[in-house]
Amino acid sequence: MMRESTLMWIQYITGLGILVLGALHFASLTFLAPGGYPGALEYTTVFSRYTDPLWAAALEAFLALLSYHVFNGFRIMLLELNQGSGWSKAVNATMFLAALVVFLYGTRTIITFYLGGVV
Amino acid sequence: MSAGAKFPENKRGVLGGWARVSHANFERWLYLLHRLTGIVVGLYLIALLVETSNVAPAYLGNNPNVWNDLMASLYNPVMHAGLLIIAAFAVYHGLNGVRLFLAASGVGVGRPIRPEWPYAPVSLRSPQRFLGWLFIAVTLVLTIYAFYQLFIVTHFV
Repeated sequence: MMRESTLMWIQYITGLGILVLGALHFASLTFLAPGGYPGALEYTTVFSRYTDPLWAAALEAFLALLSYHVFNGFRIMLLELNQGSGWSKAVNATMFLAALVVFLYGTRTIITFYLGGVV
Repeated sequence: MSAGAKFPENKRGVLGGWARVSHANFERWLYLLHRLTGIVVGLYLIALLVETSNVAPAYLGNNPNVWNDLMASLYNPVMHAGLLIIAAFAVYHGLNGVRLFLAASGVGVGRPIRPEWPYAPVSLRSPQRFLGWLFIAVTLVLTIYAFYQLFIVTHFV
């Protein structure tokens, strides 16, 4: 188990990464899309993004950073609510598993979309 | 009891704990908002992943109708209002996160001084407080842009 200070630094680093990729995500939904927000939701626009290796890689990285950041955030808040090693272990294990499940679940979508356009 | 023997246990819950706002100063309000926005955007992430995973068959079957039907069902002012809140919350959380990262790194919190009357902490007169207001202003500007995209572009342009 890593120290809490290390986990917190990873929280900051993932947060800064999310800031960059999140800005790209919002840009892709607004001024980078043809016709702004409505155009960003067109089948062809979304399809071309998901099948582009760079966009797919950016989405996957975004997902990985978010999986850590969100569930470590939930973990910090939950740990405050109660004390004791039993509670800590239960929260740590549950949040780790939840982050893993969300990451794999989202990865499945990205891979499906990517292969759906390539194969 | 075991932990309470040495340190008092923190059993005040949410409303008596981090969400308690009596005597809250500016930074405390930012902290409260940081947690609220984090929870909402975090839960939204899960909903978004469920939504996008449901349209995977549209791509595998090369059937745009599955996608178009879903988009048509979500393309209304109520959903757009929800997205506006998510956008505002995400921008606030991100920018305030930068402020917290700088504070944790010791940037802009001022130099320590001797405790003299009226004992105002240096950190509360520092660039950190300016950053707080600056990021709120930037959040408002970007939220107005999100409003333009979600309500003006979608219905009038």
